[in-house]
Order: sequence, then C-alpha cells, then structure tokens
Amino acid sequence: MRVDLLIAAGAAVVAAVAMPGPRAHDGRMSRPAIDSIALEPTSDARGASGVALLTRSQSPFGMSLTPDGHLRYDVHLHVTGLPADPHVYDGATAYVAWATVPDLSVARRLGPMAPDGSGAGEVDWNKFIVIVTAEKTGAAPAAAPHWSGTILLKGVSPSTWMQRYGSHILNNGGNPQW
Amino acid sequence: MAGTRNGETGTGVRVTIAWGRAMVIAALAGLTLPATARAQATPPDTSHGGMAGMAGMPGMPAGNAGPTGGHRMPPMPADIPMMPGMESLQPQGAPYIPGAGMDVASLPAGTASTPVELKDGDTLTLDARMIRRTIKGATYAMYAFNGQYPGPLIRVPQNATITVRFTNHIDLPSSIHWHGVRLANKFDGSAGLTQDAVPPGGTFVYQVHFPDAGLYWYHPHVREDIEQNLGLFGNAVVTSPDPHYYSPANAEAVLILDDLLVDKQGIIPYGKDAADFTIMGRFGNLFLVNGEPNYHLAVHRGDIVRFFLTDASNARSYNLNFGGAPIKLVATDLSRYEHEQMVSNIVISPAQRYIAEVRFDTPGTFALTNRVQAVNNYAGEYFPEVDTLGTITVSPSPTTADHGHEFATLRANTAVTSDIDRYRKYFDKPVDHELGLTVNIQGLPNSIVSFMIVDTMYFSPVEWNDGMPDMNWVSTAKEVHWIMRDLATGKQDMDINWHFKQGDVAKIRIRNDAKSMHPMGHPIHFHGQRFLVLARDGVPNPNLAWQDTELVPVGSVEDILLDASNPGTWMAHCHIAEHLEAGMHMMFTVDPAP
Repeated sequence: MRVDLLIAAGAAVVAAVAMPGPRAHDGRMSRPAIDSIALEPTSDARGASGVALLTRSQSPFGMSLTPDGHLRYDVHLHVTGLPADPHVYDGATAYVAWATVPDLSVARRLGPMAPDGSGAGEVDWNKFIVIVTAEKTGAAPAAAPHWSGTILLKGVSPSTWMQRYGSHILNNGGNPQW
Repeated sequence: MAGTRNGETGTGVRVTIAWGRAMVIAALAGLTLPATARAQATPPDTSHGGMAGMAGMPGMPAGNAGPTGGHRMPPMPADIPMMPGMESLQPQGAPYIPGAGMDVASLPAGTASTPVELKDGDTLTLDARMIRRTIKGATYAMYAFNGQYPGPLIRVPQNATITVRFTNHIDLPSSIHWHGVRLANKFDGSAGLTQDAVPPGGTFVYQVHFPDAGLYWYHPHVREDIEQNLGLFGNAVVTSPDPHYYSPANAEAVLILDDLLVDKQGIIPYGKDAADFTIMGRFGNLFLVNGEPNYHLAVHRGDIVRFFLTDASNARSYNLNFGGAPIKLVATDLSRYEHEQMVSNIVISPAQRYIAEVRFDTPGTFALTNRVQAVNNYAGEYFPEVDTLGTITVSPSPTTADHGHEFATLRANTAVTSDIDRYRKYFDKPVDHELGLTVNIQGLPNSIVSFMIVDTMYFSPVEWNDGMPDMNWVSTAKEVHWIMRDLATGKQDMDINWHFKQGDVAKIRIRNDAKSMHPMGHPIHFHGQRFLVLARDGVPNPNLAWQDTELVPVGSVEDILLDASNPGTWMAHCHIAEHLEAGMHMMFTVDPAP
C-alpha cells in the first residue's frame, strides 16, 4: 500500500471518529466524505476501527466506468485494533475484505488483509457495503462467492446516503406550506 | 398540456418566510440550513408567462413558434415526479424562444453538414442564421452556420492558416471560438475579452492558424447555453503531413453529440436575461448525432472505422458503447496518447474530443449507445439509462482491406513522448496556482432550497442525468453563482488574472469542492494553450496526451501542467454552458517573450 494512502487512511479514521455524522459548519454543507467509508466494528470486534478509501480506477477518461455505466472504484482498506492472530475467531486463519450490495444478494471478495492492516480491491456497484471478516482459508478461497466467517467491521458506501425525498419529514402531507 | 406550469404566481412563489420557521423545519429534519441558502424575500415575477399556456392549446403551431410564449417546465421523466411545492414556480426573468413571433415555415430548411477542404491561405465564409429543422416530425426554429447542422466540417492541413469571414444573422450577439486551437489571441472569439461580440448584422474576420493535428470544434462564445444548444457548432479536422499519423482504417466518421430539451410544443424556452438550468446545466431529452436522431453507419465485416468524437452538449457527459465492438483509443483534444490502448467504452464530457478506432467483426446491426447509471433524486436511487444514439450495420461481406493486424497492434507514439519529454523536468515542481471549484446559491425559492438540503447527503462524482429537472429549471444565473476561486488569494472568477511569461510551464492544482450546496463535476477548459493531466487524486497519469479540457469530478483534485506558450489574455472556464453563464470563468495572461 502506498504511503500517501496510508496517511490519508489514518486521517480519515481520525475524521470518522471525530465527526461520525453529518453536521453543518462554516456555512457550508456537511456530509460524509464521498471518497471514504468509515468501518464500524461489530460486537465481535470492539475496539477495532478502519476506513475504506475510494479512488477512481485508472482510466484515460479520468472517470472509469463499466460499459453499462457503473463507476469503478479502487478500494483501499486500512484496519486497526483486530487481534494479530485471527485464530481467536473460531479458528480463522485470515482477515478478508468483501464488498456486497445493500440487500446482500451478491458479494465480491476484495482480498485478504495484510498483516499491517491494509487491503485492496475493486468495486463497481452503485451502492455497496464493505465488510471485513475472519475466515478459515479453506472456507473462503479466492473464488468464494460469499463470506462464511465472522463479520468484524462494516461500512456503507457514501452513495447509500442518498435517500428518497418522500421519506423525509418535509414531505409529510405531500405539499410543504411556507 | 403536461409539463406546462405558467402564470401561477399568486401563491407560494418566492414568498417571504420567517427564517426562524425554516430553522425549526430544518431542525425537525435533523438538518441545518446554510447561510448561503437562506430564502430571500423576492416579489412574485408576473412579467412573463401569462399567455404561455396557450402554446399547447389546439390550433397553436407546433414547434417553438408563436406570437407569444412563456416559460414551460421541462418534461419530468416518468419515474421522477415533480417535487411538492414546485407547481407554481418558474425561472425569474423573461423567456427566450427562438423564432417566437416568426413564421417558422418561412425559414430556410437546415441541411446536413458538408465537408469543406481548405488549404493554407484559403477563405471560408461562415454566416450564422436561423433555420427550420424537422426532427422526429416536429419543426423547430434553430440556428446554423451556412444553413448546416452541424456547421461545415472543416478539413485543413496542420500548420495551415485560413481566413474565416463571419457574419452574424441571428437575433443575438455572437462570435466564433475556435476550441482547442492555439491561434492568435485576438481571433480566439471570447466575446468581451478578446473581441467585442458581433452584433446582429455585424461581421468579424478571423485568421485561424492550426498548429496541431487532431480534432477541434468551433462554437459561439456568447450565450452558449442558447446559441450552441440551438446548433451553432462544427468540427475542424486538422490532418498531419505524416501519412502514418494514424493506423490504417477503412473509414472515418466525424460524430458530434448533442442533446436538445423539448416537449410537444417545441424547444423548452431559455432564460432571456439570465441562463436557466444553472444548477446542473440543461440536459436534453432528444439525442442527436450530427444533428440527427437516428445516426446510421454501414460497414463491412472486419472494417475498422476511425471515429472523431465531440461532445457539444451543454451539460451531458456520455458513456459511449459501439455495440460491444472493440475500441482502440488513439487521441484526445490536441494530440495522440503516448500509448494507444484498448477500452470497452468511451467517457466523454462537454467540449472534450476523442479519436478512437473501432473494429466491427460481427455481421448484424449494433446500437451506438450512451449507457449510464442515472440518478432519480426523488427516489434516492440509481437506474440504468440506455440512450440509443444510432445504429451501425455490419454487412456479412468482408472488408475490402483487412487492417486487423494493425488494429491489434497498440502503437507507442514516440513523437508524442518526445514532445512531452521536454516537460518532464517540471512534473515534480511545486504547485503554482490552486483553483477551487464551488458554488454559491442565494435567492432560490425556499421549497427548492429545502429539497436541495435533503438531497445533500451524497453527490455522484459526475451527474449523468438531470434527476431533479423541475428544480434545475427554475435556477437561473441570478440565484446560482458557480465559482472558480484562487485558493491563495481568494479572488474569484474574472477577478482572477494569473500572469505567466511565454514559455512558462505552470502546475495548476484544481480542487472540486465536495462540500458546497450542490457540487458537480466540471469540464474545465483553458483557452489558447495545451496542458497535460499529471495526476488525478494524487495518482500519476500513466498515459499522457495534450488536452484543453479536463473533467474534474466532485471531490477530486487534479494536477495539470500548463504549457503557457501562446501570448495573450485568455479565458479558462467550466464548459457546462449554464455554469459558464453563471460566473464560472476566469482569466490568465501569457506575457510575450521579449
């Protein structure tokens, strides 16, 4: 993993802890960063934290799109606070990063986490979730379609923050009165 | 009558609201209204639109002709309902309707673009005038150069200088900007900067020197949101003296992409005093390739076609597919790439150009499509959008000259690399200027502001569609100020005038603010020079080419290396036409070498 990405990842972790939700400041709009995902620990990994940074996949056009128009992101993970030996999780042998869609119907193995807590992969879904699991090597080979081990960290892509207007209080009653 | 919302200014339009009440509502929503988004007390504008509804009534002419006309709301996509509270809104100011009050049938019919081969010293006459176009059965009053839509396709050898005598016969001031061409400053066509706008009936003579082989285009630099959108654009293909500049191909096709926004009554009116659709730019719903809705190309099996692609749309970026046929990317704005490369699709943004070779190996009919993941802002969801721009028919009979081997060979363009080598010593130099891209929105109706606040949790790096056409339509350059900001001095837009010496090589860092009220990707264009994109978000660009326009997505940071070689005071700006009209332009001066 490149040093600049590691530094950025560290900064993003700090930022994610310090500013967990949207807020306004300095008269400008505040919203989750569009290029990072704060990875929150599950109850099985209290004390762990992480971030998944999204960068544009390489493309001569600047924006990298699949033929059907999905944005292609390189995902750079950095995780801290997990036990050095994943064996504590039911005999797991590796930490593995995954991406899945919001309804969990499909998943993609991004790759194993390195001993320094870094990992990487590529995603081209509109809305997605990044998770880190503890896997037994034999149970989650490179071609495994889905995780089978314990979920330790999870975070949603910034695009999942995009929500239906109609669910908002401003629309209750159908026509706001001013 | 669907989509017509006019003259309903009696209630609920830009009424004054108590700031405290807005805060209460926002607090209930868990949000905080930004200072820049405070609703302004603006009286209802009843100066326009009163008779607009008549335009759709039986007996009224089709197209955009008519003795009167008002603003018309753009058609809402099927799955995107109009926001509550939008029914009575319309843009501030009077509408501009081309051909209003004229008998459109009396206008000359537009014709297809015709190639014109010019050599050094030749003269071309270009006159802009109003024409009549019939597209999919609807008749529109539009603009054209020499009656052609697009304008004449200029073919000229590299290093030629031609004279262009321009006469403006449209009803607006105009000019011709020679996009990407490193020509003498006074002929750049930037009205208000390098020349006065050419008034209706006026003339201007351009001396256009073409120093670089490649694909260029020309268009007005006055109210591009109207004039360019209505058809005032054309290409210039500049040929290299090197017969092997490109690999062999069986055919060449020059394609200009454009989109018009229409309803059953004609072209959706424009803002007369100030551009409308200024939040996102005007996205059309009628896709045109070379001015036609059904582009068609017939080739033989195994043919290789070299496409010259230009995006002349006001705001739309495309993701082009050639029916799955393999694509070899050869060149962009001002040069070939260092290395040719295969791609599966081409992403092109307003004002950008690409030259790509496509091999059609399989007989059949294939669609030229724009495939994007569009956003339905109302639903907060993506949906796949596929726009068929044309078709390519591949006959079973084999090509007469098989260039398959050359197509499969990815060339390294050593001449390009050698040229760029002279600049590599500057790649690691400190940043000379940092430019921030952002927006300030004030005075929009509070209902729009509220919905925009709800919408602020996420913005796609690039907007591939207009997911909020009602709100976008109402926003004009009176309320929306798109900003280029010098991050060192705080100067903005035309208060910026960077100075370089001729021969300087400047590193410019462009940051697209992701925290503004409504961030968008911006295709940033520098006039009169060329630049390299060194890095995108800190990642070095591995395959360089000379460009004049670069798409800067939301939240991204791009480092460009500007070859400041062409003296004069020039403009740099966003090439979304409505963003340019809403202030997003600046100056830079290249002082001549002593």
